[in-house]
Amino acid sequence: MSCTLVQRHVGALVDGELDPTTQIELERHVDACVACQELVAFEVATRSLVRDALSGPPAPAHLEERVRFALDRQPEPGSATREPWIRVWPVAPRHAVPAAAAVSLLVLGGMKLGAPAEDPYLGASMLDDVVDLHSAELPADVRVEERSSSADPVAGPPEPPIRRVARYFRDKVAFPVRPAVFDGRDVRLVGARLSNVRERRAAALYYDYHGRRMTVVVTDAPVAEATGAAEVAAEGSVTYRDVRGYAVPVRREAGLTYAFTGDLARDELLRLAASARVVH
Amino acid sequence: MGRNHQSAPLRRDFEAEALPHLDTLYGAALRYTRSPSDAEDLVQDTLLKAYRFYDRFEAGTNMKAWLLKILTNTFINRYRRKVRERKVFDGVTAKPVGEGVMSRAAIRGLSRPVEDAQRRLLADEIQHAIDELPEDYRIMVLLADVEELAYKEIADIVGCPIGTVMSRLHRARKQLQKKLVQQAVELGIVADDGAAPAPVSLDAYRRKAAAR
Repeated sequence: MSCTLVQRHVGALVDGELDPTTQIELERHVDACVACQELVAFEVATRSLVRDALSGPPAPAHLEERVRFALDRQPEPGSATREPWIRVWPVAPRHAVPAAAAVSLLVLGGMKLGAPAEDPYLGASMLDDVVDLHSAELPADVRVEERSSSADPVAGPPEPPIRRVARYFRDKVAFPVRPAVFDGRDVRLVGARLSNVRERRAAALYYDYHGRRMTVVVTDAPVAEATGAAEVAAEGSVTYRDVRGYAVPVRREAGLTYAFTGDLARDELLRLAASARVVH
Repeated sequence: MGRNHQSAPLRRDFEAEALPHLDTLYGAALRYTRSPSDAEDLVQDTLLKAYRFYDRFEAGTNMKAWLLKILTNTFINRYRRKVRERKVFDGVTAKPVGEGVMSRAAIRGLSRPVEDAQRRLLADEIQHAIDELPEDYRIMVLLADVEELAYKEIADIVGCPIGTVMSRLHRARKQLQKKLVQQAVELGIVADDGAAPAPVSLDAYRRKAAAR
């Protein structure tokens, strides 16, 4: 049994990335098992072959100078935080680029690759529902407010809004709802509502951003093809879909789709979506 | 001379912290882009971006991982490929990477130190096998096996759960190892014992025996 486990996890075992109990248990087994020792030795040996094969030449001598020269022309760090830049560009729909399709066919060699079956969730229609949900402004099922002053001395400190919302959805949707948080930004979670996106149950999270509303819909439906992408400062990139003139940024996190809509300027919404984080 | 070359302590700190990673960054950029001139551009963009956001870098955390994150993101954004290749690799059409697909003799042979000349021959095959991996997998193998980042750091860079990093690395490494062994057998570096792969465990042996 342990041999099977070692075979299955030999990579993580060598990396020391298994949970501590399993790690110790398997290391102990390997100490006593010749076949597994061979397997581990092989893993280590191939790892070093890969490293050797891929370790490239050092950076060319002029590169450091080139970088220093470019740095001379850069504003001081921190200037970016005042005015985070954002770059937005469209992503061509996939049926409009037969050339790209041909390339991926080539890459895949002999593998058969038909047109993907029409998935009802792949279209932009599910995002229509997301936009509708936001515009309908339906009342929240659960309201949360941060009232630091009115902590009940008997009941103890109030439950944090995020946890309260997560708990509300626990037996209502088939996936764990973890509200997105926006570090260092003035975004407050104010409530949540059980809703539907197409036929699927979804969680609508209501946020307040400087008095304006933002709705984040969490669903386990797969994500629609991107129509655009934006690169936001150091936050990385976020893709979005155009829905009836709105840009709906969509993030995938732990198998769930987070779609953002709000009464905000497009750049602002993209920026917030890019900075969103899910706390596990 | 740059206007703030000597005067700005931030600039000096940044150079002292970031420039030692120049070789690492260039190596990673070269493996991502496969082109020396693209790699230089990518490294320069990465360092400029890192400098602009240097005030957001948490002192005491892993500078190399932070720079590699910016580099990887910049690369992915600029050369984003369609996710379609990944679907095939992940999906039902993906061939299972079986256990014990390699003969025990081959495993033993490759575990011993390999001569330099043979190493070079194998290196070509490894490069080729890496190039065949879908982008995400390629990036993960590079970050794990070459840069030796922790799974958590890789998950953070690629933006996926740690479990996904673990399973994709496993899959990618098995595929690499399989090709490596095939190549080693072809080059006569290791002996092929001809027989069916030796089962490494009693369990596997029993399953095999039952299947016969």
